[in-house]
Amino acid sequence: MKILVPIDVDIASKNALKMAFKLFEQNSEAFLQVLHIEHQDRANEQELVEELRKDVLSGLHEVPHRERFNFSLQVGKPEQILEKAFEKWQPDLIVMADQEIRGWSSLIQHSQSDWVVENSSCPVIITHREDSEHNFQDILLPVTKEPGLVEALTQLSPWVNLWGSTLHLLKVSTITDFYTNLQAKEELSRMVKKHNIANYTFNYWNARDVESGIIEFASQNNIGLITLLTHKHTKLQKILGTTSLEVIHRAHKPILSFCVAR
Amino acid sequence: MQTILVPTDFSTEAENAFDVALQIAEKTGARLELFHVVEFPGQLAGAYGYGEYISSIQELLEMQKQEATEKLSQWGNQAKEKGLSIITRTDIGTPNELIVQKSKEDTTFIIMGTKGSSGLEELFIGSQAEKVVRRAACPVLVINKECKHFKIETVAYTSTFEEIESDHLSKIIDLLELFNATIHLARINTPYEFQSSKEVIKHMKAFADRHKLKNFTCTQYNHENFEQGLQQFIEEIHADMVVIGTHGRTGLSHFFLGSITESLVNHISTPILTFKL
Repeated sequence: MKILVPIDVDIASKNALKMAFKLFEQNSEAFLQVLHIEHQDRANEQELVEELRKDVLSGLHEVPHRERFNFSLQVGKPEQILEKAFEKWQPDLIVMADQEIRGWSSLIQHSQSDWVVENSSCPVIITHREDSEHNFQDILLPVTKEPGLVEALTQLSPWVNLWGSTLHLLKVSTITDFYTNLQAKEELSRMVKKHNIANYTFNYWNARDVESGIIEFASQNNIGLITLLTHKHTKLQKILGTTSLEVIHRAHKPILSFCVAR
Repeated sequence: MQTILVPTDFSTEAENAFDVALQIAEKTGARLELFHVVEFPGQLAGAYGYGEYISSIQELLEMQKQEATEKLSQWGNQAKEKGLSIITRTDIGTPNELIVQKSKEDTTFIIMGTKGSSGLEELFIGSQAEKVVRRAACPVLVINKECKHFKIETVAYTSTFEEIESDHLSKIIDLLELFNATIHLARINTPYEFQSSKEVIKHMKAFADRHKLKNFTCTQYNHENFEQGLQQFIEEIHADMVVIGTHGRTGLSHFFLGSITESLVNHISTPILTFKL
């Protein structure tokens, strides 16, 4: 398994690195690639870049299994660097920190994490500054109307088996999209049967909207990872907000995202 | 000492209620008060001349009262054989009115049976239990089926959890804890009375803290209809009993707005313990 961890100077990256190392240590066949990306605007600040390199390397000097670990520092346009990295390393999993850019600013600036989530062909774990312990045993899977659930379950299944996780299926009801407990249970039961899901729980939550429901449920229960399906979105859609990106930015829990076709 | 009032009309449902009362009294040490009301028979009006009418009725009522007293005594022996404290009383009048009056005296709980009620009869007349539930000054446990081995292990308590509760609820919780019951706090959520789970759980936890509940769960149950949702929830958790508060509406307010609690009393088969909010 190849794990790619794009980082930068933001303190949130430390959490991503911690999570990646935990995954690396759990899997004796994992290969970890840490890629420190500095924006080309900083290319002129050679001293700063060199300091950063030393800082990151000093933090990594106690990494065990050095033969399965690699670190590189690259300066340039993040998306270009990442595209090349995907092509070169073909990662099985990407772990990175959330970088939120809201509203109209997203017309001018790109969020690296959003771009990765929407463009990678492998699962992406997004961590946050506030994430505390890393728990892979309890994975939340919101069951929504978004297409691509089958594809996501297929991709999710090996990870669930590796971690021995329990899948907490969640149906969120809103005032305009109301489900009775019976209807929600029938839908979730059909899904479990169809996809041979072994360890699972059924959960129901009421909220003003689906995104809030997912976030509230995760925060009130012992959830380690929130699974989300993401799709490529237009700029306008991003300005207006999308369910998956909203949850990624607002949740204080790591997100495991799968980019699926619409 | 607690007093459990057990109104009876000697029907099967009343016998079921008395059975339950015996079991509860054995556990709690409460005193039982077995109460029968000979109903004034309005259908005889006009059948005789007034003088003869009054004298015939009085004789009839006294005869019925005498018969009832003997029957009550036989029922009362069942309690005495178990070493329970019991008194029996017979009166003449309108049953639900006299029962409500008694509830204002030294009564901790009322336990009574019901056949239920539906359709036009429910709309215009209602059941005796429904009328007592509406106006009683103490909690009322309504039993409508046989409960030879009555247990209170799994209890559904339904509410919005935002209301101000009366003191009666503390008495109910003490009773439930005596039976080591698990109390399943439930809010039935409908599209017309929709509330977020976050808010509901917050209110439920505050309720549990206020009443120092030990064994409890919190559930929000979605259904398009409150009564059907509650029935489904009760079936899912195999509840032994349902606890629900009532506003006790009367008159036009009751006719037009109705009462969910009273409707439940008439329709569901699980024992219901009601109390005035």
